[in-house]
Amino acid sequence: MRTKKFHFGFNTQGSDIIKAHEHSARQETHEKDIWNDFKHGSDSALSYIYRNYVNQLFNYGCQIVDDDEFIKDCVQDLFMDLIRSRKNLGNVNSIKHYLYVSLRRRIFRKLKKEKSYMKDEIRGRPEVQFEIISSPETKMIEEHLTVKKRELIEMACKKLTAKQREAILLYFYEGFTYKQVAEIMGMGKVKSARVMIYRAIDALQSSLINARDLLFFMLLCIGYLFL
Amino acid sequence: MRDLLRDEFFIKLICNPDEDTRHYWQRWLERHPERREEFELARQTVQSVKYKTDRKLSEDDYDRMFMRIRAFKQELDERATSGRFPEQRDKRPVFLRAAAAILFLLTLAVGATYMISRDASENVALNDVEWVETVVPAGAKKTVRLGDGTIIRLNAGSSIAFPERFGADTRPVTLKGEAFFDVAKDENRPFIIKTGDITTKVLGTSFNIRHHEEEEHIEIALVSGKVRVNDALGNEMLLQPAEMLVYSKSTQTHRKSGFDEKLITAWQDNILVFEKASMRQIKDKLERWYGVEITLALSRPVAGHYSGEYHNEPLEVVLQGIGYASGIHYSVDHNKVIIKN
Repeated sequence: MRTKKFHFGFNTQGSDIIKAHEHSARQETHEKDIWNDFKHGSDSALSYIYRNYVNQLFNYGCQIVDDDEFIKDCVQDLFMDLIRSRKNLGNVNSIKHYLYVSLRRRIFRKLKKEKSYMKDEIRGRPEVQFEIISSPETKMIEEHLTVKKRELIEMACKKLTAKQREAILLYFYEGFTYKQVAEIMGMGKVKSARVMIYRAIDALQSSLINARDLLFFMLLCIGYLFL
Repeated sequence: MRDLLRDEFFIKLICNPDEDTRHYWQRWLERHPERREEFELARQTVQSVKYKTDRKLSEDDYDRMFMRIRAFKQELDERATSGRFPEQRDKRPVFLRAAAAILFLLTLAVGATYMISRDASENVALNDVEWVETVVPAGAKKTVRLGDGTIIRLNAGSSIAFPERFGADTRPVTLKGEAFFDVAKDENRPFIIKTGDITTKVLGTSFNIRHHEEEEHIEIALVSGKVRVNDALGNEMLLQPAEMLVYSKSTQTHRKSGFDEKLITAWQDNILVFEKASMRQIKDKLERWYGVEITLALSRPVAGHYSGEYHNEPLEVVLQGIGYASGIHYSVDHNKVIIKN
């Protein structure tokens, strides 16, 4: 799902640490062209957008409302509305960001319409929204994160609110900027998104540091035993 | 580590790196060798965070939604070009409308009786189903919608033949030229396309087939879903999305390759693409695209190949563009073109 990804090892010293896998600057102009083509009614641009983003959108939607059919409808309507109003669409820098903003808005609009259904139900169970797992990269050359640390990250995430978890996933996993996160989550100020993410990071950070201190303390104890 | 995690630019390095970002962080690491471990821990923390349940559309849902969206767009496009406005209010008097309604119902009833009687005799006369052929002349394009909901976009100089009604077992069609298929899903009746020696069998998917008599290769490029391809020798190949099968007619061999979807489907958006084309290929393509007759009167062979892209341009613009690049001259008289150098 996270398509633009790279990894690098630290076994070799020097300049080849950071290897080029993709050029996202080019990607960005490419996306602008695609969006433009789409506005002019191109079928291949539509198919590009669908292929690249439909599953990401579906996943994101399901994190908000755990109902496949409901989210499928939202995503399909989103695409159809885009096609219907394509001539009036503005320019975008990131197609993905535009789609996320629109989808989230659409989901909440639709939820409001179908009041009897949901709303309370999802409000009542925020613990299942945007659940986070901490799992290692497959091709990691050097493993710094031990299983213990990953557990700690997950524990810390569980203590976050659903909104904080959403913000963290949008920021860490989807790679959106603070400004984009604020826009997607409908927060008026970028600062709100920043504060929310800072708090979440602090929680992660302190749990990791605590773990290190604990380990150090245990080593000390063992040392004393031998004295 | 907190500083790094808070830094958007650091997140960019991990999620959407570009040259600048990489360069910056490389320099940063050289300047702060003591923070290497912290850097690495931060990177892995970010990378380890994932959705606990990562949801995906099933392949069926994925295809189905795409077809619905495309059909929706097609309808919208066609309505826009034909300029009909179905919302317009009907201003005819009531009795006329009533008469029309009665007439409509009558037709329906007669039609239904006719159909039923035809259905009864279907089993006997299955082989007698008439085939229909749609021919698209050079210089035009056309969309055909079949009874089962399949949508076929035909490129210039192509034709498709299909039975008036599909039988209960299969949906056979015959293609000459190039077409993009959005095949409606029907698990029980495979959709079978014959193109020369090659037979392509699908259940529901979208893909491009290209086979012109004068060309050496048959190309089948799959966008979504799955297709099964059989050649005359009985070989069977399975294509996955984003794979293209290239069949050579003279050697009866085939190979698989990837393809650039934009390039393969560009013609549907009226984009004329040349990819390392020879003079001969340019001639064939222009003849089909614009419905003209081209004579090559070359005193010496044109060196090299031509690549270029034209968005909905008139013939003269294209000829000019090729002329600049390849050093040829042309003259146009009605629909006859002479190319010289």
